[in-house]
Amino acid sequence: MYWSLSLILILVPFLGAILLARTKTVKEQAWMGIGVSAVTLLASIINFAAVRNGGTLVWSSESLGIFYLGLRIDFLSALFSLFSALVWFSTSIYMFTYMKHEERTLSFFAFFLVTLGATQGIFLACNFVTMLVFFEIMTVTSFFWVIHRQDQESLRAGYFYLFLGIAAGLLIVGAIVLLKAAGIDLEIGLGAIMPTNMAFFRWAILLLIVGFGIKAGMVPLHIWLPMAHPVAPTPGSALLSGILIKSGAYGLIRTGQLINWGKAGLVPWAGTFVVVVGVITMVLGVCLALLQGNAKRLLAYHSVSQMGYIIVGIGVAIVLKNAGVFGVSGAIFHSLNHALFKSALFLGVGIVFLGTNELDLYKLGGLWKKYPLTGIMMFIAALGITGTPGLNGFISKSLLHHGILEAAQSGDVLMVWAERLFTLVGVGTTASFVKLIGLTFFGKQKSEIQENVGEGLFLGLAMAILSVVMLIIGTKPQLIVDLFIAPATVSSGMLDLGHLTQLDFFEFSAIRDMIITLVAGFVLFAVGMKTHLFHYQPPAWLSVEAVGMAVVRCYLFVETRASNLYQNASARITKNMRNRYSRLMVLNRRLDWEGGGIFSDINFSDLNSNAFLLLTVFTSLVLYYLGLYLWKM
Amino acid sequence: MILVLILTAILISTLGALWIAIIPEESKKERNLVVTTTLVISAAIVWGLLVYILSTGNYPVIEVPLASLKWRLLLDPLGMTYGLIASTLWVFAAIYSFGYMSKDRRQRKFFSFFLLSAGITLGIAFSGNLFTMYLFYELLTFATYPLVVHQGTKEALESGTKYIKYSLVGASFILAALVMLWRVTGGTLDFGALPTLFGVASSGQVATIFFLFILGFGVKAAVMPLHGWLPSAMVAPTPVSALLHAVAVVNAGVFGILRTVYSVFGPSLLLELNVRWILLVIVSITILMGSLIAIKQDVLKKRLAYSTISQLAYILLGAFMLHPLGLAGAILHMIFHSTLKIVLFFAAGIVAEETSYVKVSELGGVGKLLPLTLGSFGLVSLGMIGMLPLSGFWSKYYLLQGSLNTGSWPILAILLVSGLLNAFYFIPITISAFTGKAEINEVTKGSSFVLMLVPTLILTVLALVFGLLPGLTLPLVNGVIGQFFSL
Repeated sequence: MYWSLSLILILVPFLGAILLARTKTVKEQAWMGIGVSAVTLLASIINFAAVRNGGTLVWSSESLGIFYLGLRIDFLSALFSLFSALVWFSTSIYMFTYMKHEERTLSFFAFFLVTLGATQGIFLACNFVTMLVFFEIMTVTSFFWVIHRQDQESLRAGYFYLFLGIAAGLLIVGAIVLLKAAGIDLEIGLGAIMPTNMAFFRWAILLLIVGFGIKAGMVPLHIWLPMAHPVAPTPGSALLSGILIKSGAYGLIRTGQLINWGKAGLVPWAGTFVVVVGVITMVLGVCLALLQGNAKRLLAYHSVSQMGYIIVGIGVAIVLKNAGVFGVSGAIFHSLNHALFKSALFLGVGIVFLGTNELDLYKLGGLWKKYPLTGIMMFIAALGITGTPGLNGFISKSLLHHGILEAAQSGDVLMVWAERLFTLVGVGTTASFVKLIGLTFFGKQKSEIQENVGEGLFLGLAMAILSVVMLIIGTKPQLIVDLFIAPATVSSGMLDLGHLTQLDFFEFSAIRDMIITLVAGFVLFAVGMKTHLFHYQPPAWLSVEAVGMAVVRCYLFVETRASNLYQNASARITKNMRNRYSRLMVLNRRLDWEGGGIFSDINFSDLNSNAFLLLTVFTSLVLYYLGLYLWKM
Repeated sequence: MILVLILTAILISTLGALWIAIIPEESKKERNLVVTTTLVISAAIVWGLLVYILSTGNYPVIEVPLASLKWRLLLDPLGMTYGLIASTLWVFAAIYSFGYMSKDRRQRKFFSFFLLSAGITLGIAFSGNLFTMYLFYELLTFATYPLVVHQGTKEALESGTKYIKYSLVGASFILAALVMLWRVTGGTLDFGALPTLFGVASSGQVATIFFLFILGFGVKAAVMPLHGWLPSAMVAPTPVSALLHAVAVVNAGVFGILRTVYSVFGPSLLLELNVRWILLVIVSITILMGSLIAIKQDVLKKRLAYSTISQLAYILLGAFMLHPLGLAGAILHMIFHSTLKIVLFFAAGIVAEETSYVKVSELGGVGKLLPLTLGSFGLVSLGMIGMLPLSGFWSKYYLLQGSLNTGSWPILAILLVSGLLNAFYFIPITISAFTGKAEINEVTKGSSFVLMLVPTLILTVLALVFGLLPGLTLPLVNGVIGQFFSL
């Protein structure tokens, strides 16, 4: 009975998208969006309750021999499905007002709903192939959010997004094939038992990490993220940054589970590799975020940085093997938290954008009078992302910090540095959010505000839902951990919970460290504003795009040379052949006493049907005798 | 009974062609009726025979002695696969042609050769020995030549000449190989349960014969550097390009190679000869070069032609792996590539017919005028890249499996890179069609438009169905594998 609920999660959004064709006004479309999202949210709540009561739910279609579509819901899937449905729901409320100011609403709503279904499918899939089905659908449909404006910039971003998304899909295909060849079941939610081919298995894990890493914004394949997230309409940006990149995180967690969190030592380098990439992602993301003047791009770079936290958590868990519970639970918890505060921040920036038509932070200012509620709720979200005690980000960051500290205690230089950089990134995060909130809401008002476009009921409500949830998590962390995070951690294959459920989040030292970080962040902000540090532009050759362009240029250089060579050679050969042929014809005509014999009729430039029949017979006979002759030799 | 059915399937189209050639140009209804009925009947017979041979497991043979040679027809899963693809897609292409050719003045000529080619193609599929196959193979060249040059322009005639030249040179290699084979085996050219060359001593001679066959069939299969005719033959009317140059003719070449590799030489002999690597390298180069050249093409049909060259090499790649999984990939890719590529051609033809745009750079905004057409194009091109949930994924999946199981992991990398290259040349077409601004604001969609759109949509849906239920093809694929590998 309960499995039908999980089908609802996927099919209702798809159905809603089809029914959208019958709607006429933006209002109807918006209600459809809200309705479908509400149904999905409700179903995912019931789903979670069902998993709590009855354990893992499984549904699968008839297998026709090659593969079957199937769903499998454990706590981890149910949790991801639940919070993405929640963010989707509040975004759909937001869209009620927001989409009045957009063009082509029908297509946007349609892709909004299809992507909802696809995202749910990714989280609920029971094997990697089913996951890939929804993964590809999500890539393509969310691509249409990115190019929604259809201008030059968004198309460029869209291409980056789509091509990297397809590349991610192809890498996962490669991984699936390698896993299958290594004798591993493709079921999600199981650890691999001894693979038959170790090399294949390790390559598969690498491909999985890179493939999901692209979606998760892992450096150096993050380039699509800061391009794509800002150009999409705000609800799109919020969901891209809030939920869609979590599909990458979810994939990475499942990959960790596949290698049993490093227990059997199947892939010895995996943990360190993931931690190093995660730390680079975290640091680079925050550094680049500090340099941004565009509010949405700043948030997008923070998504890169925060995904770095999650990746580090996963990596730490693999490094620590059995004791990695804080890494996994931190990664899961931070995925949930980041979804909440990042989408809230994007929605807030979108409200400001609606009124001012301005995303450049240096041209905004003093908006708190006009947008008090937005200001407060964005402030709450900013407190969340900076990890201020009392809000949700603090809790998950503490968990991650615990994990990384345990790894650092082993004395591994990499891990010790990972821990130091972890703290440093917190400072940078604080500085850039002081910048975001400060430059937008305080100081002098610099931009014109359109009349009648303030904080509507629906816009406010959407943000309020997210803020309330963040506050609940922040103040009742133990409840959330017991209810959601601990079971999800067990579902992700980390069976030894350690003292996760007895952890005191509000112990003095943790709060003290966080406050030091916050103060340091304020100082960094002040210094940065004074010294114009935030206007520094890194040289163009440092960017990944430049590397890509260099590769393309090299290819074009080689390609032009090669094709020139080929064309010259083939032209010379053709010319020679033609000369020989005409000389042969001349010779033939001289030999042909009667003149005007069959040789003058045969002409390749104007081949008629008689000629080619003759030619076939002729060629065939020649070859036939040639064959016989060769044979006798 | 079986005998009558096989002969009916092959001959009914030929008789239909004759009938059409006799009735006057003006009697359009009668002509369309004849075309549809004959094609539907032959497709139905092929489906029926497929069910019969898969359920009973015996492969009927018809033999007619002819001096020291003989006519021989054979129904086996490999031949059925090709026959099935051709006869089924021919029906769709016929319906499409009724729309596409509705304004043409020489429909009588067009449709008679169109039907004739259908019969000949089935002849290739059901050939039971190399001699019969060679005859049908040569006939196909001549029957399709008038279709290629149908427009009668200078360019069309030149392309037609190129097509004939390439095909005849290729066929002469096949003939030479045939003669040599005949000498080696002492007169046996039959395909059967055991490869023709089974038990015959392996030597340099055998390798020579093999490469002559590959050279010969490689022309129609458009293996680089023998591909030159395919892009120029795109001057043909779209249904012809779609059917002949994405389905029947090129697949005839591929089918010929499959026959050579599996029915004549057999995997074990070829493994002994150790020719696998050179073949895999050649087709891998074709895969990559085809895609790279396709990126540069601006004329949509030429881009599709180079994509075809690249995709046909996938099939050969699977065939040359000499492994059950590779063969499964080859068979699946033959089926899925045909059904996908024909949709792309159909869509390109609709665009050309309704808007007269033939270049990719002109397509901006056309998607808003023809949403369903370009929508199918976009969806199906994702299948060509190998994305789920479209059928193209599954053939690629088996090719990848095969490459890993034969130990050739570089092929895995090549296939994945080629997937990305496919994305590079397919996706911008759809995107620019849906985002740009078109110069024309309206297209008149008449009854001919509906006739073209319906087959396109049905085949698009089919691509999705196979993508989600790949197991539907399993009996056929298992049949082919069981024929050549003892599992």
